[in-house]
Amino acid sequence: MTRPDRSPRWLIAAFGLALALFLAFTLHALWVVTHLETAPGPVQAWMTPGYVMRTYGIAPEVLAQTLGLAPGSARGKTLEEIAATQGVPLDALLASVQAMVPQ
Amino acid sequence: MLLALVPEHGVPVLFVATFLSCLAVPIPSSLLMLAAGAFVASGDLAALPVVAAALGGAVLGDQVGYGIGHSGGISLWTRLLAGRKSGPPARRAAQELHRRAGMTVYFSRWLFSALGPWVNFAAGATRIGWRRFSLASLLGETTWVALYIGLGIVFGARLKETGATAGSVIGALAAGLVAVLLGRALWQRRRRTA
Repeated sequence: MTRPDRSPRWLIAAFGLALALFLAFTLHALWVVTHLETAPGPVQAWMTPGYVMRTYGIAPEVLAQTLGLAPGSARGKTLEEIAATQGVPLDALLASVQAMVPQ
Repeated sequence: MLLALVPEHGVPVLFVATFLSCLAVPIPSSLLMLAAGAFVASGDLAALPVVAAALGGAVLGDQVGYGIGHSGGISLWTRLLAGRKSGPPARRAAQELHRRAGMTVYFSRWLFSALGPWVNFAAGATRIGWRRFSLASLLGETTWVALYIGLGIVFGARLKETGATAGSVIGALAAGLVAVLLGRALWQRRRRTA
């Protein structure tokens, strides 16, 4: 015979699951934060010159010269759009920007 | 790639994304808001139109969801209430929703955001007052938009990592809150039976 006043199993299981998820999410967040010291990933097509400058610490004049643009003239344009406008292969443009990234 | 649309078309993209998210269309609105915040910080987008578009889309989406529940859901809801088996639990669920409507709507905007669209439909179908719903929706969506666009502005230079961290922190907060509520229920049962 079961005791009617006992906590139902589903409630205990749900509590355990919520605790496990809490721990897993917390550990994941901590892991990501502690690995932020590593270098940011490669330069990508969706990035804008402004985003590249901020993320990789490239000086505006240096980046503008690499891209063949006046500083601030490509606001809101992605590297992919800049490559298309200039008729340059995207991979070549990405490689030239990547070469500017301080090691 | 969706991210590539943000620098140039950020304002309409955000409006449509948050609007559709509130109607249960699976769109990574939180990531798009993070990206928009990052592009605000890099000088590609202006802050005010970005915030207005994200907030406007979300609030309008909530209103449409509420309206769908109000007009379409009411007949289904009446049938559920009249059912011999479904009646009592449906009535209890409605009572609970009415008792905690403000909190439920507020937290389902950003902390339990997967529930958001369904809370909109249920709120409309169970006739939760429009003013009460709208106020909680506005406060909750403001929290959601401010949180993600703000994170994007501050930490957006590391977009991928910020997205992963923000998702996990929100997940941890939500799971922690559920654990506290379930733990309290367990504790109360034990005390009653002790």
